[in-house]
Amino acid sequence: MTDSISVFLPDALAPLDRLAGLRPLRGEGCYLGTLGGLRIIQGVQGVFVRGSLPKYLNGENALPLTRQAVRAALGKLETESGMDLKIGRVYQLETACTLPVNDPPREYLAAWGPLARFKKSTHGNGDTVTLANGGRSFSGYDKGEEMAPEALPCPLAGLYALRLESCWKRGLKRLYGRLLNPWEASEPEAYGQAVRAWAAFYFKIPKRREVCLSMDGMTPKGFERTLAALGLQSLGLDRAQEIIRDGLASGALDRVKASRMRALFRELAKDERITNTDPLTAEIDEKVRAVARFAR
Amino acid sequence: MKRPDFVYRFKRHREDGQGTRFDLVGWDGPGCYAPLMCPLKRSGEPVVYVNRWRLKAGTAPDLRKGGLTLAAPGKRKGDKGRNLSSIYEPSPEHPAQGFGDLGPRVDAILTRRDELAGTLTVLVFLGLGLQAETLFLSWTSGGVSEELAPAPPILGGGGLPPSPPGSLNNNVHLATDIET
Repeated sequence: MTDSISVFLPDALAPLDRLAGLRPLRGEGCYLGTLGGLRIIQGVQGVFVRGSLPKYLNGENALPLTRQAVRAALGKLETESGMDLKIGRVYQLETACTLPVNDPPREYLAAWGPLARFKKSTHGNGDTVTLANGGRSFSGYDKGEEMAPEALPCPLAGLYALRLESCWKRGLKRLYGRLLNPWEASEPEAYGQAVRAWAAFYFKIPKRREVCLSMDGMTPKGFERTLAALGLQSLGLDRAQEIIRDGLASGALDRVKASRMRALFRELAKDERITNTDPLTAEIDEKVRAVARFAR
Repeated sequence: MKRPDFVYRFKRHREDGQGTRFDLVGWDGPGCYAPLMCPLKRSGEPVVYVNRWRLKAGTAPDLRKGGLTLAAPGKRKGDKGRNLSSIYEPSPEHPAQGFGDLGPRVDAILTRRDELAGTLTVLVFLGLGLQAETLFLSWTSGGVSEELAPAPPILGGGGLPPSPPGSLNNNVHLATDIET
């Protein structure tokens, strides 16, 4: 499931004669070129390698690589470039998986709400949703739309495909406890950690839930909460957050009140007594759990 | 919809629901798929074994391992069985449905076990060993059929093929006897 990887190889020399599109960069002896789609930069202190391993190995990244296939890609890179990846340090890592789904991916992505400390952005008429901050990002997008549905490879051909990508832009050391070389990052333990972090992030995203208005054992307080949940559902989590932000900006709300209101949203949106998991969300939840279970 | 290249059906050897041996009761597909034709040395019956991973005492379970393995009998008398594939059953929402790869990692398999009926169905997809998991996810979304592609119509079996558009319709037997 490893997709893009960024590796720094200190004191290494790039195989400039084998790179395509080679051009000089600022600084003496600095060059940029590509090797099978991977960007290779020869810097003053060493070599930077960045790119998608599935694209490098298979020419496309719609189908996730298994752990063994990741190692095959690293082996191919070592052979073709002549560089020893064992001296490298992985400083960015993207873990991704394409999930075959029954409905257009934008319908699944529409259920995603805002997440604290992450900026949510939506592009392409809801086909792409990204939650990002300086250190991490998580995106969901329509892979079929990106590749054109007929271009999706075999098991996905003719289906809707939702791609979930988790990227560690900084602070990869926090995930592993130390910096790893690419071979170490593809060992079962580290690889499993990255896959589990991918799944954990997905489950952290608040998602729209269906409100169930059942009067069995209903109390006035419960009724009030159910109506509030219905109101929140019709307003949408994004719009509700926006209203609070506007209130803060205009000075109508102070930070404590705003924080309490957000906490109320979160509580109402997650309350299992008055809400059920949306069927579309349940479909993706099941698939993410299945993929993370064995972390192949 | 993706369709398998072979469908192999097995039935548990013992009728009391015990035991790990499954006998081959039939298959669909063009010819036979050699990795699943595993004859017993003494009788020549093709069988497979569905075993549970055995944990070594004192070791923690390896979560990456599939819970089950598909194994073939040993080639010679007294030989241990050969492992064909792990069977991963990752989804509690779809119990007894799993995936694996044979070859290894050459061909994908999807498995469906029915403990009550004592049956095991193995769907084989040639050349998709590395995409076994994606195939499984498609299967749970209804993107994979459990039946082979229907055979193409055999020309000549049901009369002459239709004429290409624009050509003369000559599908008429001309009388060979000429009355004079």
